[in-house]
Amino acid sequence: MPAINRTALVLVCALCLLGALASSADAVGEKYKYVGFASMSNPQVEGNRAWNQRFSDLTKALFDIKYSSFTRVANKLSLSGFRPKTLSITSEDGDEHMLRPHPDNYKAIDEFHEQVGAMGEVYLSGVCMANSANVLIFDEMPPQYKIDDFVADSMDLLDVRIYAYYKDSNTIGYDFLDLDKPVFKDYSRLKKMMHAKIIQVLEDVMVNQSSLDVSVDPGDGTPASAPASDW
Amino acid sequence: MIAKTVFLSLMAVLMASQALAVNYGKDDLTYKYYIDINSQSKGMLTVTKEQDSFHSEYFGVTAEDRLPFYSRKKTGSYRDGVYATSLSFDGDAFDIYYEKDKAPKGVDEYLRGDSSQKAIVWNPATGRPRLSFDRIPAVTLENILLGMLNRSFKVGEYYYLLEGAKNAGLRLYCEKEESIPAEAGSDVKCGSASYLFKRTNVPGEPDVPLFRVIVNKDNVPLKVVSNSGRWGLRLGGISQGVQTVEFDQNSALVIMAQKDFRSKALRAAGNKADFSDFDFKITSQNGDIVNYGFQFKASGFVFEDDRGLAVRLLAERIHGYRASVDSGLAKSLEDDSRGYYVEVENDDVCDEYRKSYSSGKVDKRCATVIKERSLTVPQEELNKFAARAYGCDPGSLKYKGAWMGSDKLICTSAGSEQKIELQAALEAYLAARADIKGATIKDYEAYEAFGDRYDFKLVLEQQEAVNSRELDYEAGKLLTAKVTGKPYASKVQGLKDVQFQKIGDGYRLSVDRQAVARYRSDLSVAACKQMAAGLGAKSPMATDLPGDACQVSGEISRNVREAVKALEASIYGEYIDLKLMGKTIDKNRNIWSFDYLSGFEGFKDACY
Repeated sequence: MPAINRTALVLVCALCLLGALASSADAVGEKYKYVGFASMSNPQVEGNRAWNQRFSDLTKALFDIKYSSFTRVANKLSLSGFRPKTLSITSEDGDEHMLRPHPDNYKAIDEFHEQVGAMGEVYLSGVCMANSANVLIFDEMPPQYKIDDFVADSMDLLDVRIYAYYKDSNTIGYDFLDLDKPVFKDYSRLKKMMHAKIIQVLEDVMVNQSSLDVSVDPGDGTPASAPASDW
Repeated sequence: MIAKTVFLSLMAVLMASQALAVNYGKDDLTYKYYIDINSQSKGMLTVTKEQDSFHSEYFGVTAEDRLPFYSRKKTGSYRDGVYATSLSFDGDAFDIYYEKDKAPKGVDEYLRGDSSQKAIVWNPATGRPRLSFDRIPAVTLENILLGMLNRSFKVGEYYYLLEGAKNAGLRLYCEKEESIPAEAGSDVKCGSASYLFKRTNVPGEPDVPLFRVIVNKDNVPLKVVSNSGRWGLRLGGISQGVQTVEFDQNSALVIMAQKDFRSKALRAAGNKADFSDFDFKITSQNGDIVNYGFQFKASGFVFEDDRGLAVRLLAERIHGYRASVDSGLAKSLEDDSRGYYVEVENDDVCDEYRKSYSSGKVDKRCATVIKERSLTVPQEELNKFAARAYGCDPGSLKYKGAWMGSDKLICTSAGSEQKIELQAALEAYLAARADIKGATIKDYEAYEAFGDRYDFKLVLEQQEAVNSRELDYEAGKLLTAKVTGKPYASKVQGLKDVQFQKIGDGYRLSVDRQAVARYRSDLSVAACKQMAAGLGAKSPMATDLPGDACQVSGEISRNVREAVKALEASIYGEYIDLKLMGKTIDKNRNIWSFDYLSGFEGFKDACY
């Protein structure tokens, strides 16, 4: 068994255990739908401190903007049933790490993205359960060669990927933030672009989740679908 | 209502040229569904099937109606009957790949995990993926409807419902229900099976019913109902594209006026007349006012047969008014060459007569009857009679009642006292009365009238021959009951058209055939005149014709402007799609036209 798969299996089992515990928390009355966030891995360009700093700022800003935009989007859509949370995983070292951009978490964040790449929805489903989250939103940079090409001026656009994983349908949705070089020199503009994109992603996630929501048959003769549901 | 006939006639002509064999899966057919929101008819969905593709459009609803499958316009292509391979939601187009090696190059860069088991929704405009999910067929509601129609949609298999307004779908499957649930299919005439669609794959939660689809025996989806009851679709037609309906306004106005007039005439006739030789045309026009002259024959106002009519006639004559009669009574009527009659036997009449008297007082054949009567004899009168009859001294007669140990008259006669039994005295008194013959005393009583004077009250019995008029009266009651069902004492003699006769061993009430024929004619003419009066026409005129027909003629007026408005309203009322689709009637001078998606005209033997 390849090392990565063996590790993944251990992790998924651990996640499932956490998930079971979280489910029992659900059962005692947790009413909210949680949208969990995970930071992207901090991109590195060898020997280029300026770009590394820019990417580091980008990583942090992308994560923070999700939190700062969440309530605004929920209010705009009049959806009070959603809550944001930072995802956490139990990494290989056995410690639990939050997946927010901080030097202490970089290794766990890298591990998260490695497992997503290797196991995809199987892993994401486990993370969802472990975190009692309904949707996961995480970002990824393009492959390293594309980053290098961008920095080396061989490519005009850097397409940052924003993934949304929906637990209830085992689906991954894709969104993209296309950044050109000049925008990295205008931080205000970069933040605006990120803001606009994150708001759109959050809107999509919340609208999608609420419109597809179908409550379980209460067994008392009332219709199964919640009144607010489109179904 | 008027326009309906006009235009259905037009449509029938249009459709006659394109009658189809029943082949629902045929390409180029458009399926029209009316959309209900919260049980209110709100909009319309059209789904047109083409070769391995479809296009659909929603009318009269918006995103605010929160139909989970709403996009103003959708197009899609599919393979194997149900796998969506491309979809476009209001121009937002996507391709769907079920095999990674057939997807555009570079897709691997975005996929995570085992990409060989993924279905990928690809945005060709950006060259990037939009979604990835487990490799099962992606469908829209339209794919489901068409997939059921061509029997490609499989019970129990998983599908990924992908609607454009959402950036992720849901997994669903369907179960065939044992029967069509009454709450969902009670209004579906030709429902054959019901399929319940359920959402699945939400970890930790049971599958949840979303909606059901009711199909006919040919698997045509007739109705889609959300499990919550919030929305529903009803099949409103299957057609081969839009037809253009075109007509001349002036001709339509005349037809509409005629149809209006016919409806009014029928209503005025109580909805029970036949019209023939209907002539209705413009006679003159003055500005906006158009005058229509009309003439027609009407018949069939009286729908009963002669027997039923004879009962009505008898009942009407007996009661003196035109009352409704139980049609079953006609069965009790007998008939011969002369007419219709009912009879009653003497014994029945005698029994009825006997009920009027105490039992045993009427003889068996009702020849005689012993009647009771009362008579009061004042003491003075009795004294006067007894003094004379028994030779009493004047003023000596006294009554000594039973309470005094006697019930006698006492008087002196030639100095000696004489006692006379009161009953004997009363009997002698009666015998002497010339006006009371054959009476016997049944009972008597003495009442103190004034002071020591008494009145004698007698109960007499007197046998008489039964008066035949009394028997006639009882016979009339029985015959009336047979004819009208109401045993009221009614006069049956001397009535117009009605004969009351004593026959051999009974009585007969009859009406002859000529009288019935006259009655039919009278009723017809009365109804015809009443109808003519109710038409609101200028100088309406009704004349009777032979048989039970009549002829009506006259003139009515209509305002052209109002008629045009009514015509337009009736078209929009009849062709509800026009408003739903936001279409207007195109008016080019007098030629009106509009496009219309027909109903089921091409499917003559089909059932919906």
